[in-house]
This record gives sequence, C-alpha cells and structure tokens, in this order.
Amino acid sequence: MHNRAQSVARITTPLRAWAQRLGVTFLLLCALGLTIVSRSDQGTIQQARIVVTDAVAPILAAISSPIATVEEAVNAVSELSHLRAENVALRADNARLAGWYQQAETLKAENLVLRRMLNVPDQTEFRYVTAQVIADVRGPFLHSVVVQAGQADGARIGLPALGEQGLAGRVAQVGERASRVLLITDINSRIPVLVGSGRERAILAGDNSPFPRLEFGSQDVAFMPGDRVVTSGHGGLFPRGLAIGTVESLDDKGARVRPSVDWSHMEYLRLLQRQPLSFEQLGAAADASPLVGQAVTLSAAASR
Amino acid sequence: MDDSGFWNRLDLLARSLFPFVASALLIIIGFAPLRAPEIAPALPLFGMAAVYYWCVFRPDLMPHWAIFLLGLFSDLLGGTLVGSSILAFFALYLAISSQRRFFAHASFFLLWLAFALFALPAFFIMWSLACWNAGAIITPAPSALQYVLTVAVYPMIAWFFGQSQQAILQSGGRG
Repeated sequence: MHNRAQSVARITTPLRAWAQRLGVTFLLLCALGLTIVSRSDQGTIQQARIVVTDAVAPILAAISSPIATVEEAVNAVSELSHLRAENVALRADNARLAGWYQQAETLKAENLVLRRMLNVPDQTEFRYVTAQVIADVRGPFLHSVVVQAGQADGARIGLPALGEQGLAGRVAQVGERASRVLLITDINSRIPVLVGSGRERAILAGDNSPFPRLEFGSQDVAFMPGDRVVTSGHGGLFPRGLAIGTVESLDDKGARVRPSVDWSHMEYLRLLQRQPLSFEQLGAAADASPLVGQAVTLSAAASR
Repeated sequence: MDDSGFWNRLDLLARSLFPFVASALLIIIGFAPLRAPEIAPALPLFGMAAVYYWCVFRPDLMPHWAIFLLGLFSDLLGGTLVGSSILAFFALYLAISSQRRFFAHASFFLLWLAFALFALPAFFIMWSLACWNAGAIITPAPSALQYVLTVAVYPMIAWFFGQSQQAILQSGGRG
C-alpha cells in the first residue's frame, strides 16, 4: 500500500508542477494580451473599469469619511492659532468683495441688456452637481480622482469639474454611483485656453507633473509669469472663462501653469452642467435667487 | 458527511481566502484620498507588498490566479493600463518561486532586502508599460518615489499580516 502511494505521488507531483507551470504561462499570456488590447480597445475595458469602480465606491466612501474627519480635526486645531489674524484679513476681503459684488451685479445687468440687443444666442446658465471625492488615484502614471456622483446624479462624460479655486479636470468615465475625473495635470488632458489680458490662444497640456505645459500655435506670443489662464471654450467641451491658474514660469519650449485649485483640500468637486436658457428665462433668473446664487458662485470662482 | 465536517470545511475555506481578500482591501485603501500631495505625490503600492508577503509565507494561499485577479483589480480600479500590474505582480511571483530555498530560511531583514531588490523590476515593468501606453517618456521620479515608499511600508504590512496570519490562519488548524 505504502509503495503504491509513493508511486502515485511520483507521477502526480511532476504532473502537478507541470500543470502549475502551464497555468502561470497561460495567465502571463492573458496579461500580455490584455495589455495590448487595453491600449487600443477602450470600450470594453472602460466598461470594466466603471463596473469595478462602481462596486468599490461604497467601500471607498466609507474609508474616505473618517480620513476627512481626522483631517478636519487637525486643521481645526491648527487654524485656532491664527484665528484673529484670519478674521482681520477676512473682514478686509469681505469689504473689498462687497464692492466687487455691486460692480458685478451692475455689469451683469448691463451685459444682459447688451446681449439681448445683439441677440447673442450662445447664452447658457449653469447648474452643478457637488460630488465628494472618494478615491485619489494620483499615481506616477495618471492623475485622476473618483467622485461619488454617477449617471443618476446627473454626471456626464466631458463635464468640467471645479474645485473651490478653479478647474480641476473633466469627467472621463461615468458609472451608476461614481465617476472618474481626469485632472488637468494628467498626461491625457488637453484643454484649449486663453492666456493673459492679450487673450492668447493656447493648449494646456498635462504631463503628469504638478505644472501643466502651455502649448502655443504661434511663436511670438506676449505673456508673463502671473498671467491668468482661463478656458477658451473652443471645441465646445468647456464653457468659456473658467479659471485654471496662472503662468508659473517660462522656458524656451513654452510655459508652465500653476493650477489655482488646491489639490490638498479637494474634498468636493462641482460638476458643471450646461443648460441653454432662453432670454426670458435669463431675465427671470436675474430676479429669482437660486439660479442667480449659482451663477454668482460660478463667476466668483471664474474671476479669481 | 456529518454537519460539523461541512462547517469545518467552510471555516477553513473562509480562512484560506483571507490573504486574497486582505490584499484586495489593501489595494482599495491605497486609493483612499489622503489629500496630501505635498507629503506624498505618490502613495505606496500596498498591493505589491501584500502579494510579496503571501507569495513568500503562504504560496499555497496566493496561487497564480489570485495574483492575476489582484493585478487586474488594481489596474481596473487605479486606471492604469490593464495588464501592467498583473505583469508586475507576476514578475515578483516568478522571482520568488525561482528562489524558494532562499526564502525558506531568510530572516526578516533579508526578506525586506529581497523585496527591495525584486520590486525594482516590477516597478520598471509598470513604468515602461505606462510610457508605451502614453507614447512618451514619463518622468521616472514619481515612480522611483513610489518604489521607495512601497519598500518603506513593507515592514508595516508584514507585521500586520504576520499578526493576522497567527490569529486567523494558524488557529484554523493549518500551519
């Protein structure tokens, strides 16, 4: 009996090792095939990504909440020390902004009248979905985040995602519960922009560094560090005039931009939905508060 | 077929799934938003450390299909080129299985050192595939930083898994 068991083992052990090696080789080939397929065919792979992200979204949301709470507690303690100074600064800011607000209201009314006179058709009002950032997949190879807002919440592919201070990215994938936002620093991000008071047209191209590059069509362009960079609206993906950042540095290849969005405090992103409105609606919006409230927040973000 | 045998087997199965489930959870945790890019522009790849640990200590519970699934999961969730993490994890797996004799008797420090050594080609695979995918050379600095961070968190992960291995796996009747 014992001998028989031994001889069985003598046959099965190499067989098992052989099967194992075959399995590894098969899976390795599968992985190689997947790599090649996923580079060219984005449809099925994107679908799979969305399904996985959607499935994991509740876990990510559960994990990110305590992290946010701890971070807020740490911030609260550290902010206590400069509460007075901040209060003084905020008062000054408030007084200044109140003046700007009056001016903005006057200009807005004037703008509306002028647009109506010129019959400019491209008038849009914005609504937005505020979505919590539940995953941060900013790695060495890509810069994107996952937000907790899906199809049902109104998230759509291509919507601009705004942080508190400016444009953070655009929605690249939409699932049922969660969506992936491609950040402006990602190597796949290219946004038509206007630079400085000269409104020079350029493309803001991410390269996975913290400071995306500006690519100009022509060579002789006049701009300086500190010039504002806003979306141009060309290509129709983004509305015109969303704040992105300022020119950080110049070199012989072009320029680099410092995004104004605060990456370290990006707890929520606003996904901007565009809705064309008629002049009648716009006129009504000027009186009704909720829409105006949203529009003012947007222009405040855009003018910073 | 008595009842206790069935429950025993179910218990054993649940316990033996622990390495896989814990590694998947670590991969998810790796993507939780820490909102501190100035501290860590890249987070460590917990998944790679987890795969290494289980391949060394319980290769029977981290078979090749589990490695394939973990790599696929990491790629799909992280948005990286699908297949790059799988190939990187497999590089680690193959390196370990070719050096079984060394791993059987290595001290903790040697294991850590071996991880630093074997993770290097794995990171290189991921970086070169990402470059190939982007059609451009991606700055290797963040990748290098991620490598250093991943090697640095290994002792923590090894400690955590070591504790849970004792609590969950060895009390299940298997050593």
